[in-house]
Amino acid sequence: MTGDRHTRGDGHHGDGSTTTGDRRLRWYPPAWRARYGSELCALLDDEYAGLLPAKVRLGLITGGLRERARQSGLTGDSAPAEDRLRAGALVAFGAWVAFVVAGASFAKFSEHFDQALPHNAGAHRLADVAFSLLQAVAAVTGLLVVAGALIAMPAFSRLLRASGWSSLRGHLLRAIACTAVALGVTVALVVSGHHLAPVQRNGGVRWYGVLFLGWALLVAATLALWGVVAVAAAMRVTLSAAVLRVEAGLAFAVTGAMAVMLGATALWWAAMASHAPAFLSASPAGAQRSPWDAWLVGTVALMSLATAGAIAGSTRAACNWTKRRV
Amino acid sequence: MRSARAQASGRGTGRGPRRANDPPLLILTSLADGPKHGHALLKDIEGFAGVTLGPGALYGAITRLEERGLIEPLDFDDRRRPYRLTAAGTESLADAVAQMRRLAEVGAVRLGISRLPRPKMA
Repeated sequence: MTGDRHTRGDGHHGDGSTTTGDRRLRWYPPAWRARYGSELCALLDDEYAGLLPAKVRLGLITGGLRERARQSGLTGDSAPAEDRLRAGALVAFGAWVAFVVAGASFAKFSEHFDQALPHNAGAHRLADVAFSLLQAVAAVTGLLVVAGALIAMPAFSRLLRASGWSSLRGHLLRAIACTAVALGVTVALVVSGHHLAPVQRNGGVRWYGVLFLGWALLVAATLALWGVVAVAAAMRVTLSAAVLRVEAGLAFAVTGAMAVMLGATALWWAAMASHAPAFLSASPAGAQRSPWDAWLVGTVALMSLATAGAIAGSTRAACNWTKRRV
Repeated sequence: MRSARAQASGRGTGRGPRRANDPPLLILTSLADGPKHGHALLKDIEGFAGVTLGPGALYGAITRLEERGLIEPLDFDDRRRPYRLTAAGTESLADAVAQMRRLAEVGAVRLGISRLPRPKMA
């Protein structure tokens, strides 16, 4: 056996017991740290005296995230098939949260679009149909997600009763705090925008635009934090085979709905580009009219990414659908 | 049934074809002459392959190999834990080496090289 240097760090044990509290390994999941933490810390002490080089720290971060993804069933085949099915469904539901953010952005962008269309039935039909389809599918998708949450509620309450609260407390408090701030900013936004004309609210007044952007980011952060709470809870609850099957089925439906909504958005975009390009570029008559508005491009890009994520998650769930032990 | 070579390199688990400098293959090769712990593995691999593995990559590969039953841990030597090849690991490495030898021989014949040059270290 080789190895000429041996620097014992704080919290390390000579009997090979675990070093789960070492901050260098904080990106790794607790179970992995319990198994390999002590020896990896010994290796780090042997190889690097003092501060770790940035490359090594980056390697530990990526390694830790990779182990977390594997342990949760998101990647690899070492986790049980049930966990892989659950992880796939969770990715689809997580992608829906991102889609909601993009949807809110689209709702703001498309405000009063019908007023910009020429006054003939042909011009209105396609954009109206696409927008109505988008709204209807969005409502149904929201109900599907709520149904998924309600179905998992008994398991969630069992988790809380079994002292699962302590593992969720931090996530929950962060989400509640962010929600409170978001509500405060929403009130400020509504009060300050109340006396402004629509033109002023839609980019005419600079400070209002900045406030709106900050509010939008805050809402996105709030949704993301609640998404973290949901994922943390979903990873800890014990779901029966039947509930897991229903959740996966809902995830497939949500994924399909996201694809339909993305298609409807593209259709609406094409219809508006054809009949009212000035609306898309928010340009005055006579100015250069481009259908490639940065806001809309960013919104649809986020929708596309979310849909791709949901498809990836659903594919993961579908691949493990028949492998699970039920 | 996955081949031993595929098992050693992680193929068949969603990862693409691997090269001879893959961490799992390097670790199996290093352990072929006896048990080693993490620090010794890094030094040995650097010596014979010229590849410097990071601790994160090393332990990611060790985790994978142990899960597949190709290596097994021994008792702690102070804070260091040595690993050794299992029978499956030995078979897996032998299969990988045979495949690489066949590849090298075909390459040498087609290049008209009678004697293979020593590989350049990084």
